[in-house]
Amino acid sequence: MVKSIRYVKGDSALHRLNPMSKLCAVAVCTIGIFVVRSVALQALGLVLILATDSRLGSRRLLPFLSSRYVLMLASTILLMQVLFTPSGAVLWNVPIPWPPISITDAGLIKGILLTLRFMNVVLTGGLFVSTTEPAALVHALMRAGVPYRYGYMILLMLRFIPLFEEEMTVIRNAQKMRGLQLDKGGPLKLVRSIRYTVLPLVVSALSRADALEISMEGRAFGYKDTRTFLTAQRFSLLDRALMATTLAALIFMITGACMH
Amino acid sequence: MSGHIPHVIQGNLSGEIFIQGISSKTRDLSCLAAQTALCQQDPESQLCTLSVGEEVAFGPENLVLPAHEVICRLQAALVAVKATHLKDRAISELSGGEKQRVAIASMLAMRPDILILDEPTSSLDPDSADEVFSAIESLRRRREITVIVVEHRYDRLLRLADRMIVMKNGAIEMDGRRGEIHSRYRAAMAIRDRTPGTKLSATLKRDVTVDVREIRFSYNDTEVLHNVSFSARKGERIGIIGPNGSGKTTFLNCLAGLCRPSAGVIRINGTDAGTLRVSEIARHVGYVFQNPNHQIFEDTVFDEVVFACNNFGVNREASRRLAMRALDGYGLSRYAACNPLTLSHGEKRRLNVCSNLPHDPGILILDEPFIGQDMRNTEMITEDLERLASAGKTLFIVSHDIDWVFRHCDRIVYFNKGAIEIDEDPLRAIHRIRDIGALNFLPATYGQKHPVC
Repeated sequence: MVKSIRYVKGDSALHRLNPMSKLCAVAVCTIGIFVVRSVALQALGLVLILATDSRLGSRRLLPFLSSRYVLMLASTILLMQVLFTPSGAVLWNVPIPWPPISITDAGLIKGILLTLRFMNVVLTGGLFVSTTEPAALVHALMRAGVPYRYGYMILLMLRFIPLFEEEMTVIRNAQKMRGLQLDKGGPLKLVRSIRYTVLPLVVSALSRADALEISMEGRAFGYKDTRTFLTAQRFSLLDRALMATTLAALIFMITGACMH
Repeated sequence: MSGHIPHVIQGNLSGEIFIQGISSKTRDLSCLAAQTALCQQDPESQLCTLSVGEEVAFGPENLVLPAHEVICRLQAALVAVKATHLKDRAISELSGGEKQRVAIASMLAMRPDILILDEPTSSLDPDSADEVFSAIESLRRRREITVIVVEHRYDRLLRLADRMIVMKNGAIEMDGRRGEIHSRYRAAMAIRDRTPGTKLSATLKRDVTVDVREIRFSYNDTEVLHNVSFSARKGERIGIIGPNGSGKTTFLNCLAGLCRPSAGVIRINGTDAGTLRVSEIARHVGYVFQNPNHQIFEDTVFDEVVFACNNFGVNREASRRLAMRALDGYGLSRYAACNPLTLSHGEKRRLNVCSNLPHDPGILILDEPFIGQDMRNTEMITEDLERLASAGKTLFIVSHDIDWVFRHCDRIVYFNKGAIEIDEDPLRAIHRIRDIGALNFLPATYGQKHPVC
């Protein structure tokens, strides 16, 4: 099974940060990762991210990084670059008659760089996802000016997806008790599975939607273009420090880019 | 009254509704929302946020009230339904009763003059229903707002009402003081008080259909069934009751082969179920699930009823005959070519039962067959079940409708904390349940906690 990254409840420094400042920092970090061309700096970045995760975050990144899925992707990227970069000094010719493949120092460096970049981008995202409650992020976005109708669309999804999963189990059970075996049936399997699983789910979702509409309209949803936001918006000292660092890093990168 | 007609639901509305002297036609829904609040049957579908605090604050936030006013309303609403301790909890962690109380609180936060509750307890277990009733009681004591409750089975609600209205065919038939209307209604409907425990004779039948020996079952290292033993005979109607999470559903899923016990043996008609596939067990065990929509798969009523036979590979001619016979027995054959989704609530429910019959399973499990059904439908389903039992089927009926269970079952099985705590005929079960103090699980006329009238 793929070890995926999802929100883990916690009270670490990263958890306590405001989702918006975290999001800005992640954006700037990602730009940085794409701009930096030094293998040493990228490697330093990787160490820093993992250290941050183990000291301040949810400690989920290392197991994720060592999962087979991630290792396979990373090694594919490395291999492609190493094998198919023609420029640079040749280190070794692969002893096969055809096609002619030679491994060069430039290819090796480029491969390592791209692999590190890939890992860094994924892990920066992972750091954010594993320490940010989805609902808190949506609330922060709505505060920052995203129309609340869109925000609530996402909140409703977060609320109802687990319910749909439960309903799916019941529907599967109902099929089994009436003798339907969806694992049999060859190429028509998909069609049958959609017909007998998705349709009941949609019917049930529509009846839920009716009740939900009455409930939300009855509580004046959509009455005005704005609404009161009660959820406390913390903007701690740490948030300010992070924002300042982020801004400094951004300016540094822009000036660096301009000077080139 | 709530203003959803004509503002949300289209239709022809003539006449006018005045709330606090102002016609509902002339105001928009948000203004109405501030006056009339409607709380619906299923608590799950009415809640749109992820935490209790957010949910109750949702309405006032939409009204763009200042934050301190929102907080003030949030507190007051939670106090009114006795749910202040839930404020920071996640919606997904709440029980059904807690969810319904939060739904009521979220409506109260709109500061309505009128609160309408549409079958607020019909999908709740008796303990949760009791929580909701006591919330209604505390609203009543405050005498600040008008509370209207729509209910099919009102036994447990009666003591909370000042006035009772009976509606029939879209018109008000009776309207008056509670006691008076109650007796007139009962006379009109010819409801008789049936004493429980009159059906003992069926238990004497010998043939054992289900035999369960010391089964255990665990979900992720938590044991939810502890050493359960049980057996059932032909023609028995077994009422399964107990609080939510007491193991009722897991137990029945084990009988149906949907869950495999980690220890112990289940024998279905003498065969060890552990050696059978689910599809083989399904030939002997029919299962009617709670929500009709989760078990309707085909486009026509006829296809729906032959569905199981087709899957079991019964030959076409025979399954056609069996299906038509089942439909005839339920008076549904005139709908054979209709789409099942166009049937009424009651017809859909009976179709669910009917589509489990053609392949003739000897054991039938029914999970809450009466949710959302009015008295007439309940009566019809009851008759159906009675016929099935006298045809020798073993019936397992899970229901929160305690009165029904005691009136119509031969045996009461009370689950608590993953074990069968009581397994007796109805009369003895009443004594045992009273002894252990689970008063919410006694029939209304026996529950000393809330004497009727």
